[in-house]
Amino acid sequence: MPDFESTNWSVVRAVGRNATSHSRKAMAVMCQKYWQPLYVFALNRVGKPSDAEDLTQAFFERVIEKHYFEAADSERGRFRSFLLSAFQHFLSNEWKKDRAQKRGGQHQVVSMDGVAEIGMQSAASDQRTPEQLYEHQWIRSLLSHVMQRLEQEYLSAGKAGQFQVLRPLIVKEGQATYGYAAEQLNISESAARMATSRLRQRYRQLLSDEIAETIADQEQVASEIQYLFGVFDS
Amino acid sequence: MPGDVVEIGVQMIEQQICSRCGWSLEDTVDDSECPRCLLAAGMSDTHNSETENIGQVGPYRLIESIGKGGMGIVFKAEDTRLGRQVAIKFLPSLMRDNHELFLRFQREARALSRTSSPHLCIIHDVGESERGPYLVMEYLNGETIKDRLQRGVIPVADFLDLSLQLVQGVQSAHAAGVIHRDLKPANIIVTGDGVAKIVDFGLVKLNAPTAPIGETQEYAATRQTLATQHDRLLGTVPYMSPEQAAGHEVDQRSDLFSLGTVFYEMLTGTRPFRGSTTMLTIHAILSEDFTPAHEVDASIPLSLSNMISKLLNRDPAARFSNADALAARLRELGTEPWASLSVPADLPLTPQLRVSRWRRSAFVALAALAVSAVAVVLFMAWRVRDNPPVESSVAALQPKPPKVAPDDPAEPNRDRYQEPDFGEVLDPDEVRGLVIDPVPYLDQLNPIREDSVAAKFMADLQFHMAGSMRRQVPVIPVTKQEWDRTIQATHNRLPESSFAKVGMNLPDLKGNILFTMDGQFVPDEKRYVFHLRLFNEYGRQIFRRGFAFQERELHGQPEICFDAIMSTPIFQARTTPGKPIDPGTVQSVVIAPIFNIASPFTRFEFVSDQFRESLRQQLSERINRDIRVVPASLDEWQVMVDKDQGGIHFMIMDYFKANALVSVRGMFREDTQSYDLDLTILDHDGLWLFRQRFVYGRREFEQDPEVFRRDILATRIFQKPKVFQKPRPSE
Repeated sequence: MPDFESTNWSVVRAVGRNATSHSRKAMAVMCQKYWQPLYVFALNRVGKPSDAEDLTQAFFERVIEKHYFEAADSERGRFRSFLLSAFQHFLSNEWKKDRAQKRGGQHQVVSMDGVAEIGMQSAASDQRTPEQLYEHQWIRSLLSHVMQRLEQEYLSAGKAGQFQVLRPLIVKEGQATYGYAAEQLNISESAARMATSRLRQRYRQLLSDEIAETIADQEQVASEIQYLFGVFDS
Repeated sequence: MPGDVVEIGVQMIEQQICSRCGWSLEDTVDDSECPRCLLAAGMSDTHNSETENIGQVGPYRLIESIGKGGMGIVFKAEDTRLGRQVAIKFLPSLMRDNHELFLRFQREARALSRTSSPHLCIIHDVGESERGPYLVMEYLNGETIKDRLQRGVIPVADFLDLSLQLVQGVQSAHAAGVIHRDLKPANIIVTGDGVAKIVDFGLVKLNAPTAPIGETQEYAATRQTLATQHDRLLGTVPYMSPEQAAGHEVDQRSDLFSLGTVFYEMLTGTRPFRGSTTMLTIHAILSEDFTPAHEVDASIPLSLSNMISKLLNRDPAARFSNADALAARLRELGTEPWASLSVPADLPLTPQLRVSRWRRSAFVALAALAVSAVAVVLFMAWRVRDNPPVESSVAALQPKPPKVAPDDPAEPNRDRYQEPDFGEVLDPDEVRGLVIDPVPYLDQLNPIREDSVAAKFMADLQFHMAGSMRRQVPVIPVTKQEWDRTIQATHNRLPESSFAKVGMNLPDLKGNILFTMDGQFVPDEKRYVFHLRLFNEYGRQIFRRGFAFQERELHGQPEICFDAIMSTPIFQARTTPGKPIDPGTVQSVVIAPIFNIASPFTRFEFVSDQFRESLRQQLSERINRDIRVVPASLDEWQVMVDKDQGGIHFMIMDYFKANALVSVRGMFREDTQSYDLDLTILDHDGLWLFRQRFVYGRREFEQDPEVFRRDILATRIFQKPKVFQKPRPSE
C-alpha cells in the first residue's frame, strides 16, 4: 500500500472532518479490509446472505459518503471494537428504516422463527456468538492481509518461489520440513532454516504493523495480539 | 511417539482441524494457514509460549509444549548441562507476586527431592524467568490414572500394585513434612514401566490468593474461598477431604482421604461423592454417605472395599493414622487369596451390579439437595468464622442407601448432559433491573403497518420491553406426571420421520413462567442437543441451559430430560427461603447468546433508580390488568406464503384481537417435508402468554390446511374462559 501509510484511526479522522478524494480512497481500501468480519456478523444476525450483504454494503457506503465516523475519536481505543459498535448501532437504527422504506411496509418479513431455524441448522457445527464470529473473521482478514503484503514483498524481490516453499514453515518446524524445503529450493538445510527465520521475522513485523494500525496507543500492540490470541480460546 | 503424531495429523486434517492446536480450520484446508497458529507465530518471543520457537530458560532448552492445566503450561525441555530430558512447568502470573508461598514451596520441593522416592515426581530445580517462576521436573513418559480410567476400571490385581506404590510415595512425602492437598487421578502418572508417580506435591497451595498467609486460620479461610470459588480451576473438589472442603487446616490424613477417593475411582470407575454442582459435591462430601465400593461392583473384595471406606471416613481420627499404617494394610491384603487371582486387563467400565435405579422422585430429592446446598454455604460460613473442631459423629463405615446413583453409562448422571458452552446461567437474583434493547428483535417481529392498531401494540411492546423491570419470578417446576404427558403429546404430534430433526419443543406456561425446551438431533454425533429456556411474565428470558443426550439414552429413558432440567440452578433457586427481591439492587450480568440465533436477549444496559421508579409507576396499572384472548374468529387471518426465501416457504399470520396478539410463524421444511408452525400469543404488554409448535406432514397439511386452524382453537388457551387471569405482581 504505497500511498496508504496512515493508521485506520487517522483515515477515520480525515474522512470525518474534511473528506478529500484521497482520504475517501483510503477509507475505501480500509473498508474492503473489514468488509468480511462485518458481513459475517450481519449474516449471523439476519440469517439471510442477501440481507447481510445489503446491510454491510449500506454501512460502508454511509461510512464513506456520509461522514458516519465524524464523531469517531481515537481515544475510544481499538478500532476493532469501535467498528463493531458502530456497525451494531447502524444495524439498530438504520436497518429498520431502510427496510420499512424498501419494502413499503409490506408483510414480507422473514419470520423470526425462520431465522432461528436457519441459525439452528448451522448451530450443530457452530455455536459462536455473532461477536465471536466477528472477531474470528477479523483475525482471518488481518492475517490474510498480512500474508498478501508478505507475498507481495517476496514477489517484488523476485523470491516468489522461496515464499511458496517456506510459507508453511511460518507455523511449522521440524527436521523433515526443513529438509524438504531445502531440497525444493536446492539450498542447504541450514540456509533453509535461516531463510525461514527471516521470513518469520518479517511476518511478525508486518503483523505488528498491521495491528498497530488498529489501535490508538502503539504500546498496545503486544496486548492486542494477546487479546486476539485469547479470542480462540474463549 | 512420532508414529502417533502422523496418524493424528491425518485424522485431524480430514476433520479440518489444525493438527497442532485443534482449532477448526473452517474453509482453510491447509493447517499451515491455521489462524490460531499464525497468530501464535506472530507473537514476539516473550509472548510466544506455544509455537516452535520457544527458546531457552536458564540452562534449559524448551522443546515442545506438552500440557496445559490450571497450574500452568508444561514444556518438554532439555537440560543442556546434563543432556537429560526434563519437564518445565511455568506457573501463572497469579502466583508470581506471592513470594512467601513460593519460597515455602521451594523449601518443600527441596525436602521432597531429598526423599529420593521413586514414586514422587522429583523437582530438580525451581527458578524465575521472564515468563515467571518455573519448576523443572522429571520428564515422565506415561499415562495419568485419569486417562487410564477412560479405558475402564483397573483390575484388582493391578490396583494392589499401583496403590501400594502410591502409598509409598505419599509415605515419603509425609515423612518429609509435605502434604499434597490435591491428590487426584490427573496427578498420578503411570510410566511405561508400570511405575506410579505422584506429581505436583504441595503445588496446589501456590494457587492461593495473594493475601498474606501466615496464620493457619487465615490459610483455612483462603482454602475455603478456593474450595468454593476456584475449584473448577483446580479441579479438586470431588477429591477433597471434608476438612479441606470445609476450609479447615488439613494434615496428612487429608491426603489419605483423597487417596481413598482415588482408590475408589480406580476400582469402580466412579467417584464416591458426586453432585451436579460444586456446592452439591461439597455437600455430598460433608454430609452424604457413599455407596461402598463392593456394592458398586460385586467383584471388589469386601476387605478391600472396607479399607477404602476407612480412608473415606469423615472423621480424620477414624482413618488410618498415617500412610505407614495404610501401606501395612495394603500389604496384608496382598496376601489374601483373591489377590492372586488374575483379572483380565482393561475391563470395560460396566459394573455388573447396579446399586440403585435412577430415582424417579428426582424433583423432591433435588429440592431437598438445593436446600441443603444453601445450608452448606451458611454452615461453612459459620464454621470458618468460629473455627470449630471437625465433626466426627458420622461413621462412614456404616453402609446406607446412596443419595445419588453411580456414574454408570447406563445410569443418568445429570452433570453429563449439561452443555455449559451453550450459554450462561442467569441467576435470577443477579439480573434484576436490567433493560433489554429490543431493536433487532422487533425489527424482525414487526410485520405490521404503521397505521394499524397493531402498530400501536407494537409500539407499546417496544416501550414495554425497553422499559419494564425484572421482578421476582417464582419458578414452578412441572411435575413428573405433567412432564410425561407433555412429552408424550409431543411425541404423538410429531410425524415419526420428523422427530429426529425437530426434536422436542415443550412450551408450557407454568405460574408466570414460560417453559420451553427445544432442540434438534445431530445425526453425526448421534445425540440430541436441547435447549431449555425460561421466560418470565414479560417474555424475557431468565434462564437457559443447553443439554445433550445420546440418542440411545434418550430413547430408552426420555425422563432423563426431566432429571437434567430439574437439576438446573433455577429450579433450586426458588427454594431460597423468604428472600424478597429488591428491585433497587441492580447487578450486572453477561449473557452469551445461544447458538447463533439473532437473539433479542443479548444486549443489556443499566437503568438508574429514578428511571426505574418512573417506569414502575407507569407500568403498575398495566401489570394488574387482565388479558382477554378472544378467538371469536380466525377467518380474518391473512396467510402469506413467501416462496422466495432461499427455497424455504415462510408463513406468517398475525391476528390482533381484543388485547392479545395471536401470531403464527412457520415454514415448510424441505428436509423433513413438513410444515413446522409456531403459534404465539402475546398480551398487550408483550408478555408471552402461550406458545405451541405444530408440525404437519406435507400431505396432511396440504390436503386439509384447516387442520391447523382447528388445532389452534383446540389449544389450552382457547379453552380457557374469556379472561386469562394474569398473575399479580409479587411486590
